[in-house]
Amino acid sequence: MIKVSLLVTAGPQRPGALTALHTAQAVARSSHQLYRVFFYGEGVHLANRLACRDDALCVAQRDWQTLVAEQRWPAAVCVGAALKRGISDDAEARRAGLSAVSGTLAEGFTLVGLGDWVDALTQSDRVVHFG
Amino acid sequence: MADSLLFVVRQPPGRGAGWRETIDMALTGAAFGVDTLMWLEATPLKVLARRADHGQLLAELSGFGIRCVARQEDLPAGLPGIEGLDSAALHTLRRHASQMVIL
Repeated sequence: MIKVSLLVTAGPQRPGALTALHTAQAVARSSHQLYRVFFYGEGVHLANRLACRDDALCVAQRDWQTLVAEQRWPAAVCVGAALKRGISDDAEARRAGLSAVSGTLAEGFTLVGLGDWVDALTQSDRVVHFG
Repeated sequence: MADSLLFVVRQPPGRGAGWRETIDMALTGAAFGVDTLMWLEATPLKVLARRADHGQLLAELSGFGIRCVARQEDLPAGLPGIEGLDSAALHTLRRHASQMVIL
C-alpha cells in the first residue's frame, strides 16, 4: 500500500478539477491510502458551499463536495488562499469580525495552514498535482 | 517521500495572488527542510526585471536556501540570484526532483 496525496490548484472551470476528483475516487477504491487532498490557489473554490450547485458549469464543485461529505476524504483547504477568496468556516468568519455571516466552507472540508501541505509532501509516497 | 521539490513558476509578481501563493508554498517547504528549487519561466522573469523591488523578492527566496534557476535565453540581465541553465541542465533537474509543482 502506498500513501497518495493530491494537490489541487485547478479552479472549478478547469478540466484538472474533475481529473483530480476521478483520481481521488480511483485511489480511494484501490488498496492504496488517500493521505490528503490539499486545495490551494483557485482550487479552493471547489470547497465553496455557496457555489451554484445545479449549474452544469458547477459540476466539479458539486461532485467534490458530495464525495468529500459522503466519503469523509481528508480534504484540506489552505486557509490563506481560502480567506482571500471569500471562503471561511464559522470560526474564521468570527475571527474576521463577520459574526453575522456563517462559514462558506462546504461540509467535510477543513481549513489548514501550509504546514499541512508540507506534511502531505513528506509523508506521502506520491503527490500528484492537478493545476 | 519528497526530499526535493521543483516549482515551475509561470505567474509573475503583481498580477493576482499566484506569485505570492507560489512563494508562500515554496518558503513553507524550505522552512521545514524540503530541498526546494524554483524554475522561473520567461513571463515572471520579464516582470521581475522591470520591478524596482526584484532584489527584495529574490532575497526572500535565497534567504531560505531556495535555488532559483531559469532557461539561459529567458534570463534578462540584472536579476541577481538566478542561475541561467541550458536545456540539458534543466532537464536533469526536472528528472531528479522527486516532486514537481507547476504554478
